Amino acid sequence: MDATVFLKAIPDPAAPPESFAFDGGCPDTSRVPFVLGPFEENALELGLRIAEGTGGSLRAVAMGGPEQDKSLRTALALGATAAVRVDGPPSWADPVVAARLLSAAADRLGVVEVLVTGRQAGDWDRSVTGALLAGVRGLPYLPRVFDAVAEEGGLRIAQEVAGGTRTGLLATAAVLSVTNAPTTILRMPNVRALILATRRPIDVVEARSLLGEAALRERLVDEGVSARRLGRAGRRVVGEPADVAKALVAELEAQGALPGARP
Amino acid sequence: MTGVPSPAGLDLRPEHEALVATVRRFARDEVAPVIGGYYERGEFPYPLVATMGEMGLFGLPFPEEYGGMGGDAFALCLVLEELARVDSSLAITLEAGVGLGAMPIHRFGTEDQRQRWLPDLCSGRSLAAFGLTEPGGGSDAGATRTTARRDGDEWVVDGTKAFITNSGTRITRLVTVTAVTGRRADGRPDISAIVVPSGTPGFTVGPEYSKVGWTASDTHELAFAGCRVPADHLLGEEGRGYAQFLSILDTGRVAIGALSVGLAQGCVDECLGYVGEREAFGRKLAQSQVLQFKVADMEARTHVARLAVRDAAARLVAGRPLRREAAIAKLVASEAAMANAREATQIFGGYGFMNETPVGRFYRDAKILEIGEGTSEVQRMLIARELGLPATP
Repeated sequence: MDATVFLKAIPDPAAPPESFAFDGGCPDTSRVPFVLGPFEENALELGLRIAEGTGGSLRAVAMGGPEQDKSLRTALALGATAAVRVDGPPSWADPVVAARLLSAAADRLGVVEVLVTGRQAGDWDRSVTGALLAGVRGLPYLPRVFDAVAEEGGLRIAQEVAGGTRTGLLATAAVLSVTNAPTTILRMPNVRALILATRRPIDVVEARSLLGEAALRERLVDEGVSARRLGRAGRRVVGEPADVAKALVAELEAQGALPGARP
Repeated sequence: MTGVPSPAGLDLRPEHEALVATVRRFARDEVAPVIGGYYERGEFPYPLVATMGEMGLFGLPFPEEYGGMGGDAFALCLVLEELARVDSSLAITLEAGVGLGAMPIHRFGTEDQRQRWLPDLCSGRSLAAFGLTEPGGGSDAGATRTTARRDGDEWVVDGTKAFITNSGTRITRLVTVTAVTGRRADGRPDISAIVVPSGTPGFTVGPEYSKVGWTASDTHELAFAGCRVPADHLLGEEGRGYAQFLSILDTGRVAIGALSVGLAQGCVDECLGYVGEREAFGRKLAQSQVLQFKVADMEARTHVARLAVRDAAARLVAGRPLRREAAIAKLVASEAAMANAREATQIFGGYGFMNETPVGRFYRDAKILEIGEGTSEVQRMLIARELGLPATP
């Protein structure tokens, strides 16, 4: 079974705050080292397990500038057979546009059966790319996957659900969004493979060549975060559980934090 | 991974950057959470060493035909620095396993010896040790008392070795021992190197030392009493053992320098985090100029030490003379590590005196850096000799 994993390098969360500069808009990360996002590490490990378990291959896709290449080379060192980087769009590109770009890049690598993403990006925490990618490709979307074992007829998928886990047999192409678990801790690459991976080519493709200039400028998802909403002081709600629940819902509605609500 | 890095050795090539990033992740994610427990228990961290073996770190500077990774000494120094930034016990286990255990076999062994021993050592499945120091000898390698006499097709080794790293683990396969094998016309000893496999009758591993630092590393006294090994266990030429190991020590000094830079950097890392969080007298410690100056001095020492070590490592890779540079690197870096550990402990106050804090471990680990692979006094003596100053009685 052939799989494609989508990777994203993010500013190193362990970098000291002084490394970041802010110009009032986006952070200037030019002095910050980039590392593979934590959930992308999980996605890469699961992608490797799927490829190894099924005798298939794994390909890796990333989007952004050269700071993404180290992550792609880590994938190559661990066994990915090919890597593509979509060059051009900023990392905060519209999520739907990003999903379309990633989908188009995956197509450059050939037919894939399983698309693997991390649960959420480690920088913006949007947690939307996997679902949007599934929508773009018309595939089922399986969130919070933490294991995938080859079985007669498909992959036995394990998902994290509220209060427990759910398993099921996946017998079709799908998008898996991977969460952190002992089964998805990324293995350490062998040094020799790491050295050789630095010499392997990465297919760099311009974003505009995949979607066109106009499509790249589309804004389809509005998910701005209001500082005003975050600025309220906390409030402790006490009482009978049913009353507390009602009070919490009322508070969330008042803050505009529920779908459709406006403060 | 060949060729000489940039002159200052700070602009790393892509393969070096990838190596550093990977080892940094290993140190942060797999070593840091558990190493304190090994340290407190005085336990050798077999699972971590096994992972390092799977990563290929023990084969890093060796050719692929022996199971190596095709890297070089510069890459090894980068790895040692990153490991020591979190823990020195693992770093010295790697340094001793590669630089002192396997490297003499690679550099001075016959093709048969390389094929016999290196693949297991490169994989990390086995470790080798280097038996040079003796209870009465210290840094004076020429004062070797251990003897090896030829008896038919065998060498018979008698003597004692002290402070031998990696010599008593359950994966230790062999110890290379320096021994007097004859006398020259002027009475000076002929010293040779003999490989003694673990478990050879007459070879006894003493109990683990109780050490101030590096407590998750393996160090023992070794005793040889009528210990017989085949004649083909002679490593290199008979009578050349002393010269061989002097050159090994030059290389080892660069590696200990790299380990020292890592520890010095670890102190900076820990202090930056601590002064940014800890409050005293109503403000963050980071707002105190006194502490800012301390951390700035620590950073400056680390930077200078890193330049010296990478310069020496680049010379090593290029095959250029490095006795002076290796001694300078080891001297500057080990003294930077000790100074940084002292300052870091002071900045952490009472917490710095607790073994569970990394700076507490760093403080205990730093002192040996000014002693092992030649004391700071020996490094100064070497530098003085390289400047043409006369030997002193």
